[in-house]
Amino acid sequence: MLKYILKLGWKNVWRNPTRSGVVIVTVLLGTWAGIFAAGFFNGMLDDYLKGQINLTVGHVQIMHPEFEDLYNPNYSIHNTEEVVKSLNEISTIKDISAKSVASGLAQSARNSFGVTIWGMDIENDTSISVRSIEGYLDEGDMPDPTGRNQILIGDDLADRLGLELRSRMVLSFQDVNGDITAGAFRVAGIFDSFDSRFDESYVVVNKANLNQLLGEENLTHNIRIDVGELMVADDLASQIQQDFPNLEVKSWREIAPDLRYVFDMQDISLYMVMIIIIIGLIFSIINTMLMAVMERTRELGMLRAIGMNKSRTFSMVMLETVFLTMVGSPAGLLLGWLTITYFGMNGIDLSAFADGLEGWGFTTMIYPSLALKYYLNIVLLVAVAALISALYPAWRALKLRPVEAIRKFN
Amino acid sequence: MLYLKLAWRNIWRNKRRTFITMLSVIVAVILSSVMRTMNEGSYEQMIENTVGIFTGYAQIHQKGYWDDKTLEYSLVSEDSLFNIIDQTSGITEAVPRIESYALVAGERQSRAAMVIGIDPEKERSLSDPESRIISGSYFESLNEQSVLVGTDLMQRLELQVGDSLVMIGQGFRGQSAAGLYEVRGAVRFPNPDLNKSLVMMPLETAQYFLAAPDRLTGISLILEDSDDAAQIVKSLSGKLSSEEYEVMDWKELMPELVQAIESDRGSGFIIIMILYVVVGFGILGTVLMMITERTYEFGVMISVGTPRIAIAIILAFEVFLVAMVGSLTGIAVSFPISYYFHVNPIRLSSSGDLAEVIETFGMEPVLKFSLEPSLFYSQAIIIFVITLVFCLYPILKASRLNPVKAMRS
Repeated sequence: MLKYILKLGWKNVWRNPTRSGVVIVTVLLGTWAGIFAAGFFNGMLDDYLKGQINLTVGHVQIMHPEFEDLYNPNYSIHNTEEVVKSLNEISTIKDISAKSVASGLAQSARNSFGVTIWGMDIENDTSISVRSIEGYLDEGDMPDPTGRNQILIGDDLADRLGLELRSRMVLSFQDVNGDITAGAFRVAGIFDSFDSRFDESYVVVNKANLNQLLGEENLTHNIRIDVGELMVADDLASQIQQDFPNLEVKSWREIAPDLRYVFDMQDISLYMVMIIIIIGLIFSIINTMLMAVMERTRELGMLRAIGMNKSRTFSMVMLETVFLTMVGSPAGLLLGWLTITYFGMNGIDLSAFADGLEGWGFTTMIYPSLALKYYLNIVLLVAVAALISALYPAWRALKLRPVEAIRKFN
Repeated sequence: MLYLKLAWRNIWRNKRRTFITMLSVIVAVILSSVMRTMNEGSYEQMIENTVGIFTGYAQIHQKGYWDDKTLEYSLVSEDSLFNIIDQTSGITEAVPRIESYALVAGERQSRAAMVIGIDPEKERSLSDPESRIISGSYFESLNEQSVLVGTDLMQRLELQVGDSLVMIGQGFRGQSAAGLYEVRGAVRFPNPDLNKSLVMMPLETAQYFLAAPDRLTGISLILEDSDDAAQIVKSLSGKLSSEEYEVMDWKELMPELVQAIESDRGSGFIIIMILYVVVGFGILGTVLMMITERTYEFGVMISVGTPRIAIAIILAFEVFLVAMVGSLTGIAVSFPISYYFHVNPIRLSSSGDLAEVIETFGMEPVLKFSLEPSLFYSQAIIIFVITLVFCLYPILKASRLNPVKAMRS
């Protein structure tokens, strides 16, 4: 019997192409909308996080447990070589960058500003940490390792202090003995990243120069680790923490609560948007199917009158929806994949909506992308939503009274 | 007139059909306005959290200060200036400040800090430091030799309330600035960066420290209605010499905040377009089905001699009326929804990771909806237009029916 119902449902689908077309298009658009919205959000988030993480925090950082609170140069990592050696053996780690850090005041003839000073081993360090700053270099060069006290500053700090390429400036901070020390630096290069806060409050100098001023030769305060995948950072951090219980190992989620906020907030927004789109979809399908059932009052009444029972009428209408969904969903999936792939390569330019202002930490070009499992989840979600929304119209079809229904001339 | 009458009757002839069509419009309006008010609400919260409690919705500085924030661009605190501010309507308070940077040190530690001199009484209406004191007490006079320090900075300097804080910096015209002050209390602001770097002093103490007596770097204005910021800035700029002063509203003061919001609005725009497509097709589907259902009726009308254009006009009137009532009902229904979430914001689960993160920013972990009226009627108008546009096809289709086929169906 099921076979006949199946057949009947299938025939009904093709009997009125307009009606079926409308439902198919609705499901198709729902699927596409879900996939595209998710891909869009995902792409936006990815770009933002990737830029921020590459430039500032990295995936995992190792420090002396006291260092972060106090920035006291004495709290350095004493066994740096041993740590780096053991990190080199972990295959998931892509980049390791060991730097010394100080926090102090940058002064020029005109003004002063509080900055964090990164002492990086520019000659030998080829990690993403150094590369990404180099990528934002606007004028000049990276500090010359052989030159004396050269410094790299951001364009916002340069504006604030009235500095230009090759200007002189003074950094003052606390050394290992607790005394205030100061050193004169010459600006070797100016970088301009997407994040004006970073450009204003971070400067880069050669590690050897900084350590000399700090008063100890082999100081390392911070080892930054970069891996391929954002999400493995937490596990990696706890693994390293076990190997070195005396050091503090933190993942980006702990170091940068603002990034975690963006990450989690986007998740919630995406979730809300999906709910709204699904509600829109459900109502579209309910209304369309309801109209479709009303349009067929006479036909359905006739079927009932010649002896088709309620459960069969019900399953017939439901099966129709299943067929329509089976056509609409994959088509929407394909369309979604195509648009994401297209815009993933060409990008969506939001600058038109952002008043043409240059981005401050937020990029205006968005490259949507979506992992396979999300595609499948969304298709499943839409299919379930479509079936649920067919329940009410199918139930209405049962409520028809055969005699009245047949009498009704449209 | 006859057409209108016919359309009116058609609407009431099959109430369920009308209701379903209207429902698709209503739901579309509700969904789009809920989405918009949710977004705009989060921006309002963001602005209030950053601008409203620290910067102020408008500021007056010496010309050039905002581009080059040094004491050299500080203004002289004159009664005539405050008189002009007093005479401008819409301003409830003018909060004077002097800001600079200095190296601050406890017994063993030193940090760079942002030094702000405040008027203890007037500051209550802006950042209200007294309510943010975690330990210790608030300033009692304009010239006492004491400071309030951000909580994180306190910790980093290993200071306690009652300890002394050494401050070294650069004063007005490059004079050296140094001083020793008692720590009166620890303050915590919603902005973590502030907590790490903030030192507050009574105004006259700060002016003395920075060797800039009677000078201010800026005056923050408290407005009766923050929406009037641009207009008040304009009227103040007219009264003050543009050679001497610059008056800025928060959009000029914090372009990065505006940018963040604009960029988010841009992505919100894409998302709402997606929503329009989905609900638009929902409406199209419903109307298309409504017309298919009435094929027989139209067939009869055409064969008894009703002009085809008349059918199109009657249908257009029907759709117009339904869309109109649907949009208005949509506003009527979505307003209470947004109102509810405005008064009872969605609380992000307090045990969750996210709530914890938001709290570190000192914000409440809530999603609060906006009640800006324009959001509701603009969405209603957009959906109304979408309905009319999407209904063109079904209407054309109905007026082009083949009567014989239509009656046989």
